Amino acid sequence: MPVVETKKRKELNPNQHQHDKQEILHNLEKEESYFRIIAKRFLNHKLAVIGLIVLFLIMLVAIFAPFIATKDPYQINAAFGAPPSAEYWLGTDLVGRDVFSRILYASRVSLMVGFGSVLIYTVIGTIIGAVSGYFGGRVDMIFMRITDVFMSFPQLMVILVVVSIFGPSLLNIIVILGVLGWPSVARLVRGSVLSLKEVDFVKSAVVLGISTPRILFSHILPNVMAPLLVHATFGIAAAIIIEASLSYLGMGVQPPISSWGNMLTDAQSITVISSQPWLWIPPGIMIVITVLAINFVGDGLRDALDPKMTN
Amino acid sequence: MASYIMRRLLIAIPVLIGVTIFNFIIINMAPGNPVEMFVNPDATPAQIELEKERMGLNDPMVIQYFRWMNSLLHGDLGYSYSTYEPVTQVLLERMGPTLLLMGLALFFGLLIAIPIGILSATKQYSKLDYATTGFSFLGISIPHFFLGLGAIYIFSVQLQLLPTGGMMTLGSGGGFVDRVEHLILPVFVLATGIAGKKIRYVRASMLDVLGQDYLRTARAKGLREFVVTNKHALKNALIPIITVIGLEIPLLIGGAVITEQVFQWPGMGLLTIQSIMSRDYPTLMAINLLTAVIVLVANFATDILYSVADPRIKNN
Repeated sequence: MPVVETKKRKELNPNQHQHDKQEILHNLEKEESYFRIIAKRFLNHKLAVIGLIVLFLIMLVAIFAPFIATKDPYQINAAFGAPPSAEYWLGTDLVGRDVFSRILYASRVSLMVGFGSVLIYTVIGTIIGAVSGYFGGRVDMIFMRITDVFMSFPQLMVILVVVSIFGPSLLNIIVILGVLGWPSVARLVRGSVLSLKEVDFVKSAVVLGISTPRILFSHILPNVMAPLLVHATFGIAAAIIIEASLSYLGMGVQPPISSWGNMLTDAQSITVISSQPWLWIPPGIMIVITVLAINFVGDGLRDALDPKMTN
Repeated sequence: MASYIMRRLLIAIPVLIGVTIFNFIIINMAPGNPVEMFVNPDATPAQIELEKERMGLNDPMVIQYFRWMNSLLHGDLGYSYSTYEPVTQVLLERMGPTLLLMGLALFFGLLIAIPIGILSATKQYSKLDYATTGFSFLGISIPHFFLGLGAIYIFSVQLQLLPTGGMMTLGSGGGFVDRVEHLILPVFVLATGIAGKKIRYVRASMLDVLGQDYLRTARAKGLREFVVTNKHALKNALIPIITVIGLEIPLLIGGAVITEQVFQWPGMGLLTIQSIMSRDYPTLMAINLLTAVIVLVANFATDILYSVADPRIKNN
């Protein structure tokens, strides 16, 4: 029960105007205990903790790839499509590059696409959603119809078409996913802003004559952060799958740069599927592990940040 | 009810127009033009220019858009750059296989998700609940292409039970059993993804309803737990799931692109990939438009169904 109490109190006056020092200290204390409660709830979610650890390890691999890799991922060796051995831990691909080292380097691509594109569309979506929800009326009507238009196209279809026009590359994939991904964020933020607009602390801020951008950014948006964070986490997982799918189709990250998706492109041939499983099973498993870890973290965050949950 | 439907329709019209504009703009950003595709490769630049003028490609974008809309409304989607057949005809050929695949996948996905989701909710925090959660997370975390390749590896290569792809064995004429065999793996891949997502929704929605007062009343009246769960609770829990199924349609079309490619299933998804590879923009434009319309219709139907199932919605 005390959990609910604290959370409620925080929602009622999250950013009240701190006039005296004591109040600031008091607020800081509350803020801290709020985060502590969230952290405690997150740590209770075992799968989320495991997910976070795995994600952290994958990040370490991505950062230190040059030090961990046993071979140069771009160097072409004498053995083509060789099975795993002491020298090539996971064998070599059809061009003779070391599969193990390529898998390590590919983690960079997945994480860059995941975090990069989600960051772009979260910013765009937040701005559009906040403006739309706050001002309402005609602005809202127009923005929401544009959102509807964007959401009418099956995401992967439109991404494929746009990639085919602008050409596949790592940067293009990040930008295209970022530019096309905002509608769901806009809807989410708009919904929260609409309901927050009616809450007393926002109304009183309006009465006090505080400027609109200030109300939006320091009174309303901090309260949208929780659902936004959860949405973004699941978004990262989804973006990694989309990048892998595009690269698998040959419409994503292009060789010689390795991506877990484009490492599976060779498996379009039945010979590779049946006789060289080391070429496609390990990168595929890496995608599953990474995406699963991020989804568990997202689930843990959702439970931890859900005000309805008490334990 | 009628006024609600009217209001929804009025909202759908500008969106539909927006869809055509957006689609037109994207495709017009594409490099190359139809003249280069159709004209004799020996043609001089002057001849190409003349042909462009004749086809109206030098007209302002707005005029070109209205011309395109005009033929679109007459059911003319132009000619494919790669096969030179009318796009409408190509699409009609490919739509059947995709609808079959998607329909079966949705059916089996829900057939798995609904009972498992209910069980998982009624036995919250049990071993079964954890196992279900694990399965559903795995279902949403495996990319369709990897699951597809894995399925081919196990069932086609190792066990030699099922075909690796296509819609029927070439030259066999395609008997019923043969067609079913070709459907199993792609439907399995798509249905796994759907079930993974839906189990979570059914479970959450059911948990929400299970905590309601009217269920306590039902129990207090002395109704059996089975009736309480499957009659009183389920009915209400399924309402939000209607929306979720509607939202699934665009994702399903996207998923079909990958799955059709992996299994060489001759539907719209495979057509998309083939059109992208051959830069067949009229076909791509038509596919995009068609899928967007399907999504709009699905959303519309979802809203209507929802308001029928939950009369409170209309007032908002």
